[in-house]
Amino acid sequence: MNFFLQLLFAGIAQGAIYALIAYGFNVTYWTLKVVNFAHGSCLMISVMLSLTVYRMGMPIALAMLCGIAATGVMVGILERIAVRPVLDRASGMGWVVSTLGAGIVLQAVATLIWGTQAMAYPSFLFEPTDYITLFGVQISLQLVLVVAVALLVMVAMEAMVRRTIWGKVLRATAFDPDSARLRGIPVQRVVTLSFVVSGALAGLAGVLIAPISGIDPGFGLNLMIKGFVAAVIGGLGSSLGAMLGGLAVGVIELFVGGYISTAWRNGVVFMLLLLVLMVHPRGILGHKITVKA
Amino acid sequence: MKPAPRRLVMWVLLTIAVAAIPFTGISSRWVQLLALIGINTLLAQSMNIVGGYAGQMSLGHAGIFAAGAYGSSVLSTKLLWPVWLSIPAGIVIALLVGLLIALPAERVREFYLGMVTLAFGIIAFEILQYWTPVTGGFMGLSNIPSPILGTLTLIAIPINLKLYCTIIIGLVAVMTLLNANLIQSHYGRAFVAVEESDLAAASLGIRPGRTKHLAYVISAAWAGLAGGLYAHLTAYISPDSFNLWVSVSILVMAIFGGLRTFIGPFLGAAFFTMLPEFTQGLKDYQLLAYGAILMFSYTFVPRGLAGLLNSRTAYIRDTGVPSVPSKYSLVVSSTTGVAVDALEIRGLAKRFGGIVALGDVTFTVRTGGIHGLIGPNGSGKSTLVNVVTGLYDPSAGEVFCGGRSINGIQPYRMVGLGVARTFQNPLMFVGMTVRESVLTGAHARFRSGFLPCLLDGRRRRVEEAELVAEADAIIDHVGLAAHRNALASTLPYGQSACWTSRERWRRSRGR
Repeated sequence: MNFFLQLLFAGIAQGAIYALIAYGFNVTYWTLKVVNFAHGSCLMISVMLSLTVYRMGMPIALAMLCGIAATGVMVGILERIAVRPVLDRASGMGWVVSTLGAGIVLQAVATLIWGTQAMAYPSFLFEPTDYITLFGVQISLQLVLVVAVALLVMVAMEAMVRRTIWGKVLRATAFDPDSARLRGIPVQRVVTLSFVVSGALAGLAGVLIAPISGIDPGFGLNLMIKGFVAAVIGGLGSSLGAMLGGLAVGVIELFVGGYISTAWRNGVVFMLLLLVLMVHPRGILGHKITVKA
Repeated sequence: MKPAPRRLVMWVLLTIAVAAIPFTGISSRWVQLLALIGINTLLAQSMNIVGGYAGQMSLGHAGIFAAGAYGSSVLSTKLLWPVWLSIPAGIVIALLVGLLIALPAERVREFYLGMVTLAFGIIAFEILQYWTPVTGGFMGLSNIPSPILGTLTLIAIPINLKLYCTIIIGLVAVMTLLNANLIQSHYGRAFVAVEESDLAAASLGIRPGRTKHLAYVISAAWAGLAGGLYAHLTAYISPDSFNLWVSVSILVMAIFGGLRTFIGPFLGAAFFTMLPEFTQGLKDYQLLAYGAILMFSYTFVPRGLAGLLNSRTAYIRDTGVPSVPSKYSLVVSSTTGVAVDALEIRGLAKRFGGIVALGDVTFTVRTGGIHGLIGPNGSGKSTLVNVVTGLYDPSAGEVFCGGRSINGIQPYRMVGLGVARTFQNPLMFVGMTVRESVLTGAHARFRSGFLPCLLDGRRRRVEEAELVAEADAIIDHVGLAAHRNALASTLPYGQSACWTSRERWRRSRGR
């Protein structure tokens, strides 16, 4: 029972990270129906940058903010140079390749600067040894922090989409950019902003997971794919769905790892992705995609 | 008029010339490189089929490559199968893998498959690492029958490196021909149609899901063959030969060489196989360069190296069959016979949330008549057509075609029922010429199966020639004869609207 609960709580924390990554996919999906295939590398860059400024003597909280902000700006630039020009040329799915390429560039640059050795990341707010006891199971406070932040972001995003004018702006931009522009919505800026926010979310996910896992230039890719699976299960575009999807992926992954074999973890998640896309591609809370003809 | 055989002769001569290179006394290092170029060409062709013509994403291609390599290696080292059996078996395994990753293709947009295939590449790599009893784990498989170990024999003939290189070149030549046969048939045109618009393709009777599955599976055959040839060239394979960066380099070769061209895969493969030979000091920057190529090629060199040569791949082959005078008559239908109900619409309604687009529509279309549907903007004309042709499910009511209910029918099945449609915006296939597009309109009338198209059989050539003649007659009739070989995207709007409507009108003929 203890082992079960341990896996469950660890799975929830892991799932919260996936949810944070999935939010990042959602934000750009809202505006351009695009997801950034460099998301994993951006997450990694945020961690590397914040670690670098921390080592130069900046307090860790400020270093994290720097990393998050820098990643946001970087993804905003990415939209300008690798997404918009490709979309303008209307070559179908070219943006998948161009953003993937951007991710590879970032990873290659990180490897040149920081090497391929795994590095440790300083703890933030709580020490790795701080824990609370719940149902007789010790839970690291760092993990609790991750879940709390993920929930907070989810509530904020749901509130923004449902309650504020920004939600309407996003929906208008996604539905028909041209008529949104006619109504005075600065579509280009909204799109760029969505990429900035997406990048910042990637950065946030990165600095939250970094103290728990080891970091190296390649560590974002796996996280990105799991985050995407979370987004798909929950329904691409839904914040609440991303949270539910993230929890599902995290818990399933930990249980498979705990009760079967860690070698099966990624494989099971992959099969889950195939299954969801075949049977119910719009996920739990996603909208049905209607074609316009 | 016999261009086809002459081209074949040229191709055979060229192949013989290249296949003779290993015997000109060049060092074995160069022979090996030549063999690698051949293998990489197959990989780039594989990517070109799925990513170029069919426009689907495959970001984990190394996984399929690995299926062929490991399949043949395991069978030949552990079960001691002869190589002529183990390599085809490896291809079959690759085909199954290709089918697996293509399963969701019917339901989702391409970028989902981008993530699926990216994940697949990583999973495949993990399977190679952890399934030790079969794959040898991290250590990989060694002592694979190969020319460098002197252990490769084909029907009791020992194969040395030069001979093996020649065999690879021969196989590449054959596969290139098969590839061209397929692309220049209605299968290839279906790939391109699906890439340009699922919707327009379906309205021609092309099944988008099935077509995408086929693209992945065919592509897997090429990658699987490449895998088998690679394993027996190097004698040793390990998971590292099939990691993410191999997938990336396959993508880079295909894109930078030039997607949707026959020459592109050769250029890409040659360029990126030779490049490391001359830039050894810059190995650390290789990934950076690959990333940058992927990032910018769509913007700056969308047609790759092949674009520099300005070569365009046609989707119709000059069949070499003497042009038959068209049996096609421009008289649509004779009014003889009794008019019957062709299409009956009963109490049809369509609501989008609270908006009622159609409410209780009832009418009947009889054969031999022309009906108009008129109404102001937003009165639901398009919605009606969309519901009738299966794009939307009706909220209430029923549609009968030829007496049977067709509610919820898949759009691609409408053509078979004799229902053709156009779209408000023309949904042209911009990468095709006028003639190719019109011919694609006849997709549902092609009877030739997959194998005849792959092997370019005589009967399929006759069929194509007949339908091309018919297409030309239509093009002449609508006054676009001068633009027959112009790219559809270069036509002014009025003309393009004109031919698309013609093109679609004729689809339902032949029943």
